[in-house]
Amino acid sequence: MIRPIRTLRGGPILVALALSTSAFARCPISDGATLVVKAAVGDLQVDTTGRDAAEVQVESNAVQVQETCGKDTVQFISNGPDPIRGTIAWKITVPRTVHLDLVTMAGNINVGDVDGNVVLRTAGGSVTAGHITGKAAIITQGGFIKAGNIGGDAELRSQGGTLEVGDVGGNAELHTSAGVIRAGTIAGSVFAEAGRTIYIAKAGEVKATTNAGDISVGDAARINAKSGGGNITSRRVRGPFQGHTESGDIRLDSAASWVEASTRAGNIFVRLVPDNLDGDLHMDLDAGVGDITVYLPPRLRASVDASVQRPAFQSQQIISEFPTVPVRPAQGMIPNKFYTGTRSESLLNGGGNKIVLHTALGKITIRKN
Amino acid sequence: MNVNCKDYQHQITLLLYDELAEGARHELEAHLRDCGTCKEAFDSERTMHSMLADDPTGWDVPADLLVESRKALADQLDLVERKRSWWRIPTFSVVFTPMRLLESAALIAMGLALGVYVSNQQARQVQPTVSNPPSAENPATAIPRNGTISNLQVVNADPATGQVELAGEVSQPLRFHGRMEDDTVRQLLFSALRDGNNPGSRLKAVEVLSQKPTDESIEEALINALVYDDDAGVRMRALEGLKTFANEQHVQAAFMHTLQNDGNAGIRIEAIDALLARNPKDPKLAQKLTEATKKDDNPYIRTKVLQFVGTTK
Repeated sequence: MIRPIRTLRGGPILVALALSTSAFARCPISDGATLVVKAAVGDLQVDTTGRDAAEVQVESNAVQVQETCGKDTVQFISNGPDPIRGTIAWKITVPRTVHLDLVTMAGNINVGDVDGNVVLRTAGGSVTAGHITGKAAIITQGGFIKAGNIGGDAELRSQGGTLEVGDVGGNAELHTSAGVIRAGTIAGSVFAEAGRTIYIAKAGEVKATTNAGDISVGDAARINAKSGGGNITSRRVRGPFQGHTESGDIRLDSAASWVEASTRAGNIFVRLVPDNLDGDLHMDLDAGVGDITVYLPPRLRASVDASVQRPAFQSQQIISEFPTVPVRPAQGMIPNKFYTGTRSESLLNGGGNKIVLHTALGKITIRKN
Repeated sequence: MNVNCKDYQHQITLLLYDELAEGARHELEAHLRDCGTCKEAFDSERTMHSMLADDPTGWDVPADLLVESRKALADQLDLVERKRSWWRIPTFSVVFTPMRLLESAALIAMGLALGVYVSNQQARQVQPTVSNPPSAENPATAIPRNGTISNLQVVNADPATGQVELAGEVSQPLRFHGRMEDDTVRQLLFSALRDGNNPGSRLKAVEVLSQKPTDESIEEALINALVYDDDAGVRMRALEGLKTFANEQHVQAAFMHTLQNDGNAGIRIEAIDALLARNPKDPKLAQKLTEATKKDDNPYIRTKVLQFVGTTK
């Protein structure tokens, strides 16, 4: 059913009000139905404390709104005012038990707690949302996005702004080309792409990429991280880790599985704390300019190959708490200190997992857990 | 100093740690009363010993020290092992028993490691964290232990005098503490901003500089980062640092440049929001914005400008 918008214009008494009054529309809405709003312009402010109806009030008499009241879908659509003067605000009231599909071509979106799914899109402007029980897709071409906990999958995208989200019950896709990403606990996997720093408190599988800035993951089942320049750190990674930074440190306080990490300039620190000593625990650490420090379990079976490409003037290059064997020079050559100082091999508990530690310029330290 | 003195001086450390056997202790004490050189060595070592004992908390011995000491000891043991055949000659075995040499080597290794550590600690306490300039008297001391030498060339070598002139480059890790007001700190941060290969370093420099954007040189550096940096994150952070000054002429000009030229809609949106917030009802700005954004493909930016123009009429 399509009806023209009812404005608050009425009899002669209200004529004066009509010049500055607002447009208003109302449709009944049931639990689980979807509210669709397509605004050509204006900020959308959604109050989710309503009952049984979706109401919209646009504080501009220049905006024309069409409403469609359906059983499963309630829709409010507007064209753009011409000319635009001042800020336009849409005040929307709905029950929290509905799904939301809101679009504004230019403006901010502000939504309270919602039990359903939400799709919030703006061509530019910030988006703030409360706790969303269902799935959430929030997209802006610029401006920040802040959301509370999201029960299902979450997709947050901004070209420039910072993304902040609480806990996510499903998988998360987080993209911003010039902003920061901050996320709480993500039950599923997360794919995060940022222009600046990425912080994730806890997640399943993590794939994180930033052009510039740190990547910090508190706890994850698996991590694949890449930074154009910044530190990569994790307090605990329960599975494999792959990480590369063009400049910055890589630090894993507790790695339970294999680790492949490289930095062009920075230190690498890895403490290997595996749940299963029989699993794949290989390590390939490469620091261009920087020190490498690894802590290994005393019972680990490994073949360690440590090398320093350009040794420092006087200080010791390779320090190991495990017995090490200097690498022998090519056959027929006489052993001398120039070989022993910069490369060593160790067989721990008879050998096994391949552990390659290489720095072009720095020191390598191998310690026992 | 004769051979006996060397032996006695090796025993001094054990004496100070009360680890010397009773008979040896009496013998050493008697020798110290008679020998000025050994007494001097004893006094020196005792001073060091008491200095360490006075402030045990201040000498937090790093874990590396033990490992390095062990390594040095292992090297010495290897040496002993390789030369073992010599000790089997009776003449040598009487004076230089392997155990005695082993004991000496251990003490030398520990002493060296401790000496290096203590001298590093003392240097740390009295010096700033930048290395001293090269010393003309002793150039070798100007090369830091952790420095790396590259491109070393022999410029001159005179076989007659044994003089050699070398040239090369030394690089070493840098750690510098200072206040933002310090010129060196600023120069280092500006230098980081020019590091074209390292957007992470540039981003962190911009973040730090944004804490003091009121300073003219810092403001210029931020404007430069906003306009010229290749990385969107760095440009965005520079813009955030300058936002509160969007009513100043040169910052406004930089934001206008961003609006017209930055390919990232998010940054342009931040720029337009900052300009509008800091310059309410400015008709001249409205005119410039209309011109600058009429071809912008982002509806938010065009709408914001239209709204702003509306407020100035």
